[in-house]
Amino acid sequence: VKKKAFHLVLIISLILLSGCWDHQELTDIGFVTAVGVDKDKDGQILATFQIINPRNLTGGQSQSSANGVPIAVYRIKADNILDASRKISQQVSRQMYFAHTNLLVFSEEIARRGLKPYLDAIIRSPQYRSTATLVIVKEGRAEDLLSVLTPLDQVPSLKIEKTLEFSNMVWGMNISRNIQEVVTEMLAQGKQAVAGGFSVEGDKKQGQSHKNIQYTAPLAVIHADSIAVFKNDRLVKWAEDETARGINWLLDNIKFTVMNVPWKGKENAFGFIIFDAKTRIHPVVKTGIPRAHITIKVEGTVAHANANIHFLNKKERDQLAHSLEETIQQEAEKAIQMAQEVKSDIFGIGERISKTYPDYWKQVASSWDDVIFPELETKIKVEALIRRTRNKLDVPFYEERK
Amino acid sequence: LAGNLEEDLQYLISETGQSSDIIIRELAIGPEHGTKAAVIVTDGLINNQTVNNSILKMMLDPFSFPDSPDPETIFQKLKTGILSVSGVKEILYWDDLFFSLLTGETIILMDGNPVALATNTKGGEVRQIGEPKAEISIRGAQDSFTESIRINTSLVRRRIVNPHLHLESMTLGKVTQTKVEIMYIKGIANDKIVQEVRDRLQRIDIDQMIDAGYIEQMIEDETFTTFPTVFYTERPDIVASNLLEGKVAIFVQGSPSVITVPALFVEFFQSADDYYMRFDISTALRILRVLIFILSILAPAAYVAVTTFHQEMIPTTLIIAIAAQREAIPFPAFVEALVMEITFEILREAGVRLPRAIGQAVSIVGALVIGQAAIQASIVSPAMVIIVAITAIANFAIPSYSVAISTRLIRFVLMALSAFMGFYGIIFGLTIMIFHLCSLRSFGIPYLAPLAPLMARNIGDSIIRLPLWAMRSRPTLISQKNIIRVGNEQRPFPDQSGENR
Repeated sequence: VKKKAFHLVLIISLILLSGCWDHQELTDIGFVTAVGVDKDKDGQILATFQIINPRNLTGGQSQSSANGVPIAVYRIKADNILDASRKISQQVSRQMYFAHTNLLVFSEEIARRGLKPYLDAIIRSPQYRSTATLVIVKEGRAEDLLSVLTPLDQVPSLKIEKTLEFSNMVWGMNISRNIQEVVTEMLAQGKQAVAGGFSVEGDKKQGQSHKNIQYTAPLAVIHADSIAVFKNDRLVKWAEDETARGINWLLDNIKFTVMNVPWKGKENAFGFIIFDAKTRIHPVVKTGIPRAHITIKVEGTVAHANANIHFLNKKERDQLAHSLEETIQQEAEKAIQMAQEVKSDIFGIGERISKTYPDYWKQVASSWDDVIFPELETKIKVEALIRRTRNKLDVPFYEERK
Repeated sequence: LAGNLEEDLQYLISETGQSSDIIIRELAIGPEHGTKAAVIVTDGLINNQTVNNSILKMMLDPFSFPDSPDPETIFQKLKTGILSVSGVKEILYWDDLFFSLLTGETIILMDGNPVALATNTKGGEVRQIGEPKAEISIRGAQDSFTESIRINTSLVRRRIVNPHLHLESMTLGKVTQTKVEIMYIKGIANDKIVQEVRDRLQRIDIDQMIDAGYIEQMIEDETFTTFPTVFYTERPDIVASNLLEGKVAIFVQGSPSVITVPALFVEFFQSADDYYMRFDISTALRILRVLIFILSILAPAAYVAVTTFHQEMIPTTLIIAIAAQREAIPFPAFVEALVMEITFEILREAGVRLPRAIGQAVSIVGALVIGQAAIQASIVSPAMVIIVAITAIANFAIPSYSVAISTRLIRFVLMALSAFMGFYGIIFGLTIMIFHLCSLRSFGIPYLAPLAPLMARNIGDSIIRLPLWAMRSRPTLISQKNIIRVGNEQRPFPDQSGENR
């Protein structure tokens, strides 16, 4: 009997001593989908919370009230994010729920001063997802980005997340990084962080109202246009266009992209869809001097031809491939040059050296970022392969008549 | 018996209280009609034709008797030479006489002889063999048990033509004196289990034995469980195949359900068709049924847990859609789920009892109330209706009615646990349920066999079903001897010689 009673106590304590669980009805929860952080004048921060108003999401059951806006944006001045998330209860009737927060936005101003003070509370919290996308607003404020209504995706934070993801996939000139990745990169030795950059264009005030999604061309547009390059936890540089794609080439982060390639002095003569790209960075330390050998292997298909060329002619094809290789190489070099200028090893070359040459790394670890990396010699080798020419085998259609 | 006809008849009449269905025909038999006798039958339980043609007619023919007025001689002649029916036995005591009389036998009393004759003239109206009502099979046999025990046993005998198919009879119920028979295949069934069944049945000491359900409740291993530890079926083919697995069948007079023991948990997820279809399809269906079982005990509980504790677990767009639906609902999710589940249980219970003509009206009201009005009145959310609907449909898809009922109970328990503790509570409840299942025994056989304890030889006929030629052994725990039921190398193959190409 004694033993049984003991077991019973064990079982009951199983229930009572279990970890945190809390009963919350859906109607008592405010789903925060995005958190924004701006600098306020007197050293405080201005936190912005984008909260979903489920009733106004069309597809919800009460269609009649669907003319309201699907999100509500609350702003509060506070000392830090934790403060803000509790203080906001003065304005919001519901308990803030951060488990569905998929977007964390910092303004450029904050990012330039360093993100460290803000990230700890977020990583520490059991509610925040470390897979939430981290975005920096280029030349703007987080509150503006989070206030713009977007036409296709009713929840703007989802739009931002998905834009980054798909643009990164099909275009390759920006990058999608979540909190986890950014923090890991910030902590890593011999590697610096990058993050996606967004900017708001157009009428920011009108963008907040329902009007924005009633026009065919939205009044305010948010778009992913750059990559934020960090050194430690500070934003040091915006990389755009080809430089941005160069970063992605080197990070082996290109899934698909479109390359315009010149041909015999003619700009944009050929368009390639790159569908398979593989980058290898291979560090070599010889007689105390580090070098990085970079190989980029791409496969592409000709998707646009605006010059007379015979694809069946191997020689011409090889020439074209070479032209593609050069274009890619230029982009990659641009990226390296930019990174060396700001002394930020975003490609993780140092990290690779530390794994291949641990002894050497011990000597240079402290001087890597500021002394060695900016002077690092790199050798880029691009191997391009033209796989297909899509539905047209040979010359452009207008050349055929001859 | 007194041996004096008048005295005996008087006693019989007083004992049966002049019941109108007990018919006493007094007649004079023997040479010159010199001996008084009586033929007693229970109207409705006899075959009138047999009684008239084979008993009364023969007895009234004076030329069939020898020329001796001695009652003993007449009695012997009657027994051996006149009555042209299959079973004739002598009866000395009143108890036996009443039992014979009331089970449809014809009693013949003679003046001056303290021995009665009982002749087998059982008959009367019984329900014809019909199609199975609850266990419908698409390809299998379409006959099902009736209320008559003899018809039921014959249905099984026709399937297993083997002298080792043994049938043992006993009478249970102090007042009802109901005939109960156990059937097993000698040499395949485990003798210990057969003896155990015998013992448990003989221990039963109650007034009535109206249905097989009384047997179940008096012989099951564990009363305080929602899981059935004996298996019922109305299909003779299932009984036959269970007997071939070494199980024991119990037939009860007046019940169209036949019990087979020992029962295994997996058995309740198998249908007769599983064995008649090819193995890949039946395996897929069995896995589907496991899913159905899980769904049917878990769906509302999981919904409550997810919406009130673990909102982080579902994709953002889905939780927002659910939140939008719940925005106007005044109740907590648990109450909402409870309201819907109970409404559905009411509808189902009403549907079972209602006469067919009214049933349809109720289902229309039910569909409107549940499906439409409750949502428009913002009492429940559409997502909840989906959950209840899928649960209900899943519940009907469980082949065994007794398990389907027990899942309904478990579902409510899990719902309550999830309302208090979320998934933690659900896991807690499931753990206890599995512990409980592991602790159950059915006639000494672990309830979860062949899954726990794991028996590799029998796993081929559990939640999967291997091809017939690969299911070589009977359930090892049940049968224990004579295990192999399929010969070696039974896998079919085409002619290899090439002659037919």
